[in-house]
Amino acid sequence: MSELLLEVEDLGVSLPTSSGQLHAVDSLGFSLREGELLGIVGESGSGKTQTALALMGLTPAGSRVSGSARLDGEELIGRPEAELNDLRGDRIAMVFQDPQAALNPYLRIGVQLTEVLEQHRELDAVTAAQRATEMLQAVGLDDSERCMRSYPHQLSGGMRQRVTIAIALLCRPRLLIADEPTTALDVTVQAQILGLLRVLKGSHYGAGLLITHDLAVVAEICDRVLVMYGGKPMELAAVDRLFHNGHHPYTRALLRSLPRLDRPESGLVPIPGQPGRPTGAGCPFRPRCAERLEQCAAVVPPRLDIAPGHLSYCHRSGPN
Amino acid sequence: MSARLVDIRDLVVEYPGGSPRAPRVRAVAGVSLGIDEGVTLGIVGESGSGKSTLARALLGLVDIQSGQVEYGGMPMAAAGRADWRRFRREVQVVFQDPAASLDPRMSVARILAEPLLVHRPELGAGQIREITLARLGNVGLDESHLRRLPRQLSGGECQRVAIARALVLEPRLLICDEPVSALDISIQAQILALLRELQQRLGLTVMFIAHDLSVVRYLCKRVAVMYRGSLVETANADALFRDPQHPYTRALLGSVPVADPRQRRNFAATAATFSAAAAGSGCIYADRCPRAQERCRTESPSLERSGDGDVACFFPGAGGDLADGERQR
Repeated sequence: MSELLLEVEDLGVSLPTSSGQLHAVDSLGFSLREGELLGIVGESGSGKTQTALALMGLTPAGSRVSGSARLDGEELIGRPEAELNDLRGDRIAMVFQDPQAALNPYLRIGVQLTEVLEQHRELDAVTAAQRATEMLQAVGLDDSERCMRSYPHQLSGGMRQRVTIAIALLCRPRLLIADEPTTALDVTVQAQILGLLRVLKGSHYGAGLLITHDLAVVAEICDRVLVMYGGKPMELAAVDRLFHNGHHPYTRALLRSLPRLDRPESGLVPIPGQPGRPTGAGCPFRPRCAERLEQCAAVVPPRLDIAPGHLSYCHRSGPN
Repeated sequence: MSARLVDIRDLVVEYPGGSPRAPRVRAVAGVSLGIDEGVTLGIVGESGSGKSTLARALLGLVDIQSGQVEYGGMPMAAAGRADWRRFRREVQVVFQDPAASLDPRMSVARILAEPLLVHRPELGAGQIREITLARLGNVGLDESHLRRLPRQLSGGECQRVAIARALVLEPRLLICDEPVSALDISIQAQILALLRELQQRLGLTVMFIAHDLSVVRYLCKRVAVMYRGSLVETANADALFRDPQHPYTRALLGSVPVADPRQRRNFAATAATFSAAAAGSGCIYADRCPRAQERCRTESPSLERSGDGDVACFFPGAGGDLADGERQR
């Protein structure tokens, strides 16, 4: 068994809203081993992005983060800002959905890479430029010299996303968090970026969290999946188990609601209602769940150990 | 053979370039395409392929450089006021962002009544209410939604209202431009199922523009694939998804992630290159095509019959190439 890299326990994020505190993430726990790519899947409001931001120490002002997240045994939650600044871009790095917004439009690509190395590695300009060029090549920007001299607007969307990945990987982070990295890209470019994330794992980053709404993307490149809904974990399993032996009613309903290129005849069964979070202690999915029981409204669903490494948070304990 | 409702021939649409001296951008570069009555035609392609511009040109919302659009046998270039009025009544659109396409200050009742007030002034208030309620029912909403404003509706509900509005005039042609891509997965499924049901029940002709091939596979009988402003392949959906002829269609299908880890494709980490200067006289796909030969760089292929559909390629069919990301057996 490979080494434990990230351990998240009882993570909570609450955000101030006009109508009081919103528990964006609640009682979330998972772990990540060296060399693993974990997909976090959910619809809007599921808390998947806030989870990532909490790990990075980037939750919005006024928010409260509780629980624990240890990277190589070191606690991340509640770290002072100065220490987080040293960690971010070095041992934890993040890739965002919109590469256009993530890059500074006024600076050449080369500057945006070398400043990371100057900040974290204190390299001289020549060495930094050399390392940056190598990294651009590693992410498939073959004409790296020209790329270093370019401004973001001179690159295509796919190339810009490769640049943000290169920036994230410069210090060979232990943990790479990618939040919807291919959502803004065309499907052929998406395939290239997903291929890249898969190939660079291990050599350029220790382990990864891929946050997405797209189950198909998870099926293509992740090792394990965490399904979230209304800020809470629903199910956690290896991809093959989740897609073929999913336990949680939400997971199974979500899979039935996908139009499938590989199975056009199988039709599609929508989930009624809309994503949201009912008040009360119970399961947030209950208003839309076809299999809900009486206790779902009042009682927090228990954590079921379905199989080794396969957890489901549901009152229905029987086999599905 | 059903009647042809829309006939687009050699359509060219250009936009001004980024600066006064920049060359004009040819968004649609000579597209010929027919839509038969009762058929759901999917238009697929990546960003910048010209699929939305094609729809806008059909709707008369952008100027056409050359070519023509015929609707119901009539060339729209020759259409008079009355013809356009009929066209506006019979052709309805649903856009991607439902919130942006509904007037924020109008109630749902008002949004749904407005097309009727414009196009069917003979109707009384009672009849308008009757039609409005029937259409709301069609899209899975009810009387309780009538007095709400768009901001009091969820994204999925807004899209349902936009669809209901498109239906109140009993259109012959419904144009949907990415109608589900802004929605959550579970809501997307609701809207797709609704569109399929309406299409079957009302016998609508639909032009469905989407970048998501799984969605097109679910809804469409016929599919047209666009690349850089041109049509590269059209075919019946079954044939196109089973046996794509154009190398670009093959690459596109090979790039779609499948929600089954047992069918992993092992996407290659292909390198990116700065896009080459616009291809001269050759095939628009030649610079990316694994099959490109000398001929492809000098001559431009036109749409020719191949298999069940039409394809613009000198070397169509399964070929021997494995386009990037194509399924590994």
